[in-house]
Amino acid sequence: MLFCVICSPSLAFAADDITPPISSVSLDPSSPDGKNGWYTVPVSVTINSTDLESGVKDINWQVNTEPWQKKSFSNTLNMVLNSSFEDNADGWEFVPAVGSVGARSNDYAKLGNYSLRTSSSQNGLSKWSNKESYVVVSPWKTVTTGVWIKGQDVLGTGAYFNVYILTTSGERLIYTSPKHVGTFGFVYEARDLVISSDTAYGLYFELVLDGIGTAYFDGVYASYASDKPQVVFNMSDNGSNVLSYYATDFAGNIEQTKSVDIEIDSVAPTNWRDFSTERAGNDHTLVSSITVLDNASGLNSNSSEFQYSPLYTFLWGYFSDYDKCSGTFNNNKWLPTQDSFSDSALSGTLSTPAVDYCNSNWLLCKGLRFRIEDMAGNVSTKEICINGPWVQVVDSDVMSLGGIDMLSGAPDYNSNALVLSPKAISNFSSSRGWEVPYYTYSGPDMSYNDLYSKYKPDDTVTELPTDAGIFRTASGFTVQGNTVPKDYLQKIFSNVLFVNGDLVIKQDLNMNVASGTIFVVNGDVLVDKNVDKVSGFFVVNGYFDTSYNGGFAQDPLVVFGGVYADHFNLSRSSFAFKNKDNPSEEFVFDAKYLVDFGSIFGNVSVKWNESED
Amino acid sequence: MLLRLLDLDNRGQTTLVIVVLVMVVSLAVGVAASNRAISNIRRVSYTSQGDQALHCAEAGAEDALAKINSDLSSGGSPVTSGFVPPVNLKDTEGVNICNYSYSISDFAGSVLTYPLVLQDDAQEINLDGYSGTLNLYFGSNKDASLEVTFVKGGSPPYSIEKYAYNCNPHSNGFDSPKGGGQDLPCSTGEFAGISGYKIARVRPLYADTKIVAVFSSQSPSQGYIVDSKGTAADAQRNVQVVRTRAQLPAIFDYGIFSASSSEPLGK
Repeated sequence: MLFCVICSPSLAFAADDITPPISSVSLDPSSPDGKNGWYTVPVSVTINSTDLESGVKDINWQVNTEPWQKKSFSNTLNMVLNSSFEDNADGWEFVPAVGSVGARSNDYAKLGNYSLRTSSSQNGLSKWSNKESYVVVSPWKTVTTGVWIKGQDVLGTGAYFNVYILTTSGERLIYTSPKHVGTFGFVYEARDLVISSDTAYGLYFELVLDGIGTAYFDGVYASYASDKPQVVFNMSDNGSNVLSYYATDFAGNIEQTKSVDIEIDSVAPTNWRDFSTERAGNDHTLVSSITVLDNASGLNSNSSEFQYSPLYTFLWGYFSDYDKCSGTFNNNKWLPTQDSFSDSALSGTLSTPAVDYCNSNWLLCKGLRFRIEDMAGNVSTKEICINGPWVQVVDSDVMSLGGIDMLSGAPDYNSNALVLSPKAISNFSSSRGWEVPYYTYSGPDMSYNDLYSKYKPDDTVTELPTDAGIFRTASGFTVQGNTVPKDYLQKIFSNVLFVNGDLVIKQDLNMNVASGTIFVVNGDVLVDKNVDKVSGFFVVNGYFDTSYNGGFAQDPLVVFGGVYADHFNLSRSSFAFKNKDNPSEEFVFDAKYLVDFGSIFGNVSVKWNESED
Repeated sequence: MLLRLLDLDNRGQTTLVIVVLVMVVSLAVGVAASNRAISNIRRVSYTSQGDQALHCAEAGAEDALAKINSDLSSGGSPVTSGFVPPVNLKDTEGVNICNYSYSISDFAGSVLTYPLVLQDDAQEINLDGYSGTLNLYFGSNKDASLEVTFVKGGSPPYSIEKYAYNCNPHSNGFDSPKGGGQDLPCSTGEFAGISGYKIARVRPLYADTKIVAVFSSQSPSQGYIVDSKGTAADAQRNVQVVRTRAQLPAIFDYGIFSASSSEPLGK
């Protein structure tokens, strides 16, 4: 490191900078908060670079295989003379205490090969100072200062550095760095400081060991902080991330690329799916299994457990003789499951042994609860209602902005198309494996008022319309004998009905296969428990309730069309074992709305471009 | 040369030559300066005329879109045979500012480019009466995936076929893309044997993407293309507008859409 000093200590420039910058990464949180080296929260990454001669020109970084990013700097020249002590300790004066020795040393160095060493066998304060080769600064400027410090068996107050400013009326301490004790590797202490005096003209460092032991100091740094060589960004991608980084200086030196592994798993095991149960003796002794995924850290195979609630008492645990429903009930205790995991443990199937659920009263939900951790320590539990009601969607996609969480699984699949949610998807599966939890949805909202103002109704009706066009009701509407035209099933129509209130469906709502109505409802859609067929596409401001007057129904509800609703109350359940093989609600998509309704309820897309001749 | 001239015996002649030289240099500087000024004036003028031409082209496109709506509502065809005669736009004093001319044609062909289709929006492709193959290119943003829903049948009840493709990998069970083309990195590959289909609904997921549909023969009409030319003095600007057929918004692709972000879809 050769410096050319002209005229005064104030002016220095890198005449022959052959040393590349040094970069270091600090993370917040500073260490993984989860298990096995995994973070369970997004990590704030700071890359600091220092170059003691020509200054840092740019910092470059890359996350995994994404393109390299670069941040450039223009004013990072280190103003400290002889900051790394590679040729001598000129400009630095050692002020010893009793029993202390100071020397330039090549025992350890953070930059280049040399550092300043202070060894002390007795308690006392010894220091290195560059007061005679101070840094020239201007009043009220902000200066970034920093020093690399290493310690061995440091006892007492510790190793640290002070920064003083020189003013026409004397010197003044403006900063003392954190103090380090014990044995520690090189740590970089840095701080932006304001030169808080109208008459300040200089700044100098004291590199202090106050106590016993050995301290090393290297890479003393001061530059105007307007262009601090630092990059700060957040990493939140789940999985094992590799951050690569390096810096270059204005002399063209390129730091060797370094990398750090940052493993993040902020999502507990999810996508509980494929619940199944098989008889293993009498009709209430069952072996059950369920599959769960964790796409980041993977599943912890030693953490899977289950408990159950056989008597609808809301008590969860297990009988000591769980295969006979006898013995002591271990309240709130868990039993291990029998598991089978994929090679990477990203997915696993948890199975119970044969469990006797005590009786055949399936009217009441017999609960089964699974629990598993991922390797990062995120815990996920899933409650199942055995032989409980479930939902099926045929030929269309499913979206729930608030997540999907079903108590009971389908015997096969819940959907044969795409299942999306910005949150977790639990116990709701696609036959194609198209389940996409934590999806960032950017589509538009839809509301009664927006649609009403855009599509003005033609007429107000008191019974279901059978003409083409757009209609409205004055208030809420009930589908029952006197509001359904006698020849409703024979009529062919495509229309829209704005219902200004709740839509109560008290009888089956069947249409001709070629007919369709889009119901836009400024309230709830309430389906009677005795209704088992409803045709239409429903856009609902409030709830879509599949069984508003009692959940237990003789037959499942089949909706031919589709439903967009602010909330769903899927309250229907079948008696006895009907739930096992039949969905309690089935939504069968009807594509006639896409084909036939564009002209009356659709939008044209208009895209403009300036074109060449 | 100047030194040789200064060597002449006759000082009067020398002075004359120097005066002439100074005049020539001054003239050259003056001419250059005035050329530069004229050039600047021209550039400003062209910029102004270019802006006027563009605004005029946009006015023509608006006029054409109004004609499309009017003709469709009256049951007519808005398609024009070539460009309509130029229409002048005048200022408040009746002076011509610029003129425009437009043509309206069917948005149809064997290669159709859909300008950016937004994530979670749907682009409908009319397949009514079409027989042949279809390949969809996508991935102007490589994060985009594509769900394709075909609606089949001559009359209700229609049947549904669904496909889904990633461009970049995602954990979603979608198929990997086929090779790129049409300046886009990914495609669905060729859907063969398309016959008796009504429509395809194409929905980008994860990101917006441009989509290019390649048919093995002339596609059915997907709407209209307006080409509008605006002219102001020597400047001409052109605008193209793609107006697709009316289609239902993307929420009608869902059998269940639960819009509450606070309450899960549960049972």
